[in-house]
Amino acid sequence: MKAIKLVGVVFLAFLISGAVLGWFEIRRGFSARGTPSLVEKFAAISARKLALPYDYRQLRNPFPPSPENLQAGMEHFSDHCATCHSNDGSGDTPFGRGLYPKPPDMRRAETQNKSDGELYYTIENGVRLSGMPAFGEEHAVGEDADTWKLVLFIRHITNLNADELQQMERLNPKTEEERQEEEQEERFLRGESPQGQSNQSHHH
Amino acid sequence: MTRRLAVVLSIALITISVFAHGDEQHVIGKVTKVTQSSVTVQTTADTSVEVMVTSDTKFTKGSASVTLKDLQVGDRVVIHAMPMKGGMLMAHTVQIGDAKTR
Repeated sequence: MKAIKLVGVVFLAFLISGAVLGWFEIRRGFSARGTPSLVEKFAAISARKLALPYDYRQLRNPFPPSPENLQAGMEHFSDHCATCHSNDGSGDTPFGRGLYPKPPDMRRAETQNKSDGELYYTIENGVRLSGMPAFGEEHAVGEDADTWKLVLFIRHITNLNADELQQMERLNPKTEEERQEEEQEERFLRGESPQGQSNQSHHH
Repeated sequence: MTRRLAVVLSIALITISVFAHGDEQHVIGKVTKVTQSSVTVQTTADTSVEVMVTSDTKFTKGSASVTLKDLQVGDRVVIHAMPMKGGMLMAHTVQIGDAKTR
């Protein structure tokens, strides 16, 4: 009987805390500029752990980290992932900074300590209530070679060198206007006179 | 039990993600002043722009990574920066041109 009362009190306390917190949140308004609170972070991480099927957690990458596989992963990452995660995995991009929750810094233990299967599952199935979409098709478990190569590249992202970063910049998706502007900037750096370029251009 | 309740209640408070864009600016011109915390550029439109630099600012010269110490007055630069509160610009990357082209 005492135990039931205790559970009831705890439940009531959570409800009241939630209501008070919710009231302050609503009064303050919601913005994607903020950083998730500890409660939100705890809830999100717990929910993600619960959402990961056991079978995936045990998966090991079947592809070796050969130069060819890493190159394929890098090309894929530059084209599809870097817009939010940035080439170096820091998430420090205009899109990444504007997302809520923000993309994790992939170089840190929070990402690097995940199993191959966890990374694979996240890429294939996305993360609910975040900006991370599900990129996978309805494959059987662990059959997407491109995703496994991305996992290899994410492991390698802590050791990127300047040449690789420069190569990635060339592979990042760009609009025609951005390509032209990049070309003009390169010409300016080579010593050519600027031709009809804006000296201080804005990018949205 | 308590932990699960906390998770469920907390999830209810999580906001749906919102997509937002940044507002990066490109500053192109020649360096007129270098300090430990900023670079001043005379732009190609003949205006002077001061851009803050931090330990996170990446400096490159061609394909090589360099540092603030390698930046000299007269160098051609392309700076990618974000506007901060108060109107100051914070540099993310500073690309330095070949010294021979000053």
